[in-house]
Amino acid sequence: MKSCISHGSSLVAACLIGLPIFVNAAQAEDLTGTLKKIKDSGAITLGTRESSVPFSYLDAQHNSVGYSVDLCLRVVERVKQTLGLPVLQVHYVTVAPAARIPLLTNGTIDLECSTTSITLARMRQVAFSVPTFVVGARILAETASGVKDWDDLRGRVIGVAQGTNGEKTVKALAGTPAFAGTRVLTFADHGAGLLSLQTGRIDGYVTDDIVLAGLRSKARDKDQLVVTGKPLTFETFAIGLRRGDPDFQLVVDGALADLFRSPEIDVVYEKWFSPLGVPMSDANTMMYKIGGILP
Amino acid sequence: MQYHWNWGILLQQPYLGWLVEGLLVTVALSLVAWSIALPLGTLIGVMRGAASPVARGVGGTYVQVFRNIPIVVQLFLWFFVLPEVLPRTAGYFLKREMPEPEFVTAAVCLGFYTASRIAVIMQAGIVSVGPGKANAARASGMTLSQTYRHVVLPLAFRLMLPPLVSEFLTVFKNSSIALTIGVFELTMQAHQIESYTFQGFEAFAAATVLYGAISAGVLAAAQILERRVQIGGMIGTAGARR
Repeated sequence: MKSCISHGSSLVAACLIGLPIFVNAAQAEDLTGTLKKIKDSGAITLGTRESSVPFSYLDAQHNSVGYSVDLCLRVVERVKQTLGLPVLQVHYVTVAPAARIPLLTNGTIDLECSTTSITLARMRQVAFSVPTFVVGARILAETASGVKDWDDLRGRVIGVAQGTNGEKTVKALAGTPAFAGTRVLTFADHGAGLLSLQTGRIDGYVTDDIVLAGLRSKARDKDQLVVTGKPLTFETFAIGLRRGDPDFQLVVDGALADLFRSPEIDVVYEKWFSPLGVPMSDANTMMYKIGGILP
Repeated sequence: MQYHWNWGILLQQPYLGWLVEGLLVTVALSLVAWSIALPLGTLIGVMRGAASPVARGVGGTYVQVFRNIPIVVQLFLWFFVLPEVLPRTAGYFLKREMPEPEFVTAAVCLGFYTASRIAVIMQAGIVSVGPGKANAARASGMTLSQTYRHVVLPLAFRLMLPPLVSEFLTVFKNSSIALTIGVFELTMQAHQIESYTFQGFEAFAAATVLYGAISAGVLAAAQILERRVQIGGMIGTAGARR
């Protein structure tokens, strides 16, 4: 532009005519990665979970619903706008924790919408959106058992879900000398873990505190269950997507940042967490403020 | 497909140790289940062909129940439901005091399920032996149980060796259901490696190779066994190599 101005008005005219051509070229540049895949197929596939209440679970009609699913649907809206598609089909695939990474890397799912925490090891295989929730690993126990904190679980039986970070943390804890004689049982899903707790097979079930609140709220004997213990570790949940796809990452993060900045996020939070009686924690309030990245 | 391969991970500790441990648990679980299934299945098979209608009824019901319920559902019933319907002390023993409750429950479940299939195989074997030899044994003064023990069952086992070997191999594969109740057998260890390293394809390939090696080993042993226990003229000579 500087050269246009200094070389006289005829060149200025030529440059101004040329400018829109450059702008159009930028908009028409080829789509790559997931955006291309979505545009070509006219569909996007979300990976969800069976019983991670209230983030990603199947309701009575076997539809995938939840906080993470709602966030992913916002992303889907943004993808639809960005690609200018009149119609975008949304497919849902329920995945087990152990399968979520392989299904994402091999293209079966485009977004992983559940309770997956950001870890460095996972970042070697997949990419993550901006954090969507902050949780701590706590214990679900029966009030009658007297288990109030981690020390009360010494020498007893702890249940965890297979293939989760909680499993690794608890196993590491059980390996320490203070916890000698503590057994760790793993379960294929949270439902089995809750059943084991209710039948007295385990003394405490450990996973993210918000998932425990969800399990407790749906349990038949919820007044005999309590979520207790100081958080052993903190983790942030995020939506998973394929690595090395900066254009798609931008669309995902853009959709989430706009949502976090608007008052709509409070409505979404209320919808999923007030039935559990879990008010927004300070950590989450701050996370939404930080996550509302300016455009 | 965007996947970072790393086959070397299988040779690193602790993952190699996990695979070995998983292999040992799978073999142990399968052998314990088989040691329950073979005697129990033979007994039920004998009962199904017995003279007494009560025995036939019990045998028939056993096979119908344990063969028709899917094995994963059976495991769920053994693990979650049985301790609740038994008296409290018995239930507590099953859930807490028994050593290795998950292993034992899985072995018992697998044993009872496989027994129903062995019962059908053994009944077919007893029928193939035919009434002639059994009648001769009874006529020469043997009691019913002696007839079964010394004449009918040895022949029936030899006749049914191929289907029994097949069933034995199936037990090894079915042992992987134990992972749903947290037994650290081979498939579960492959899941573990996947969750710690995210190298899922390598882990499951290793598990597949190990299951294949178990099958190959069992088949080789079965061939030797078949040749050794053959009775000349009794069983078809196809495949006999003297």
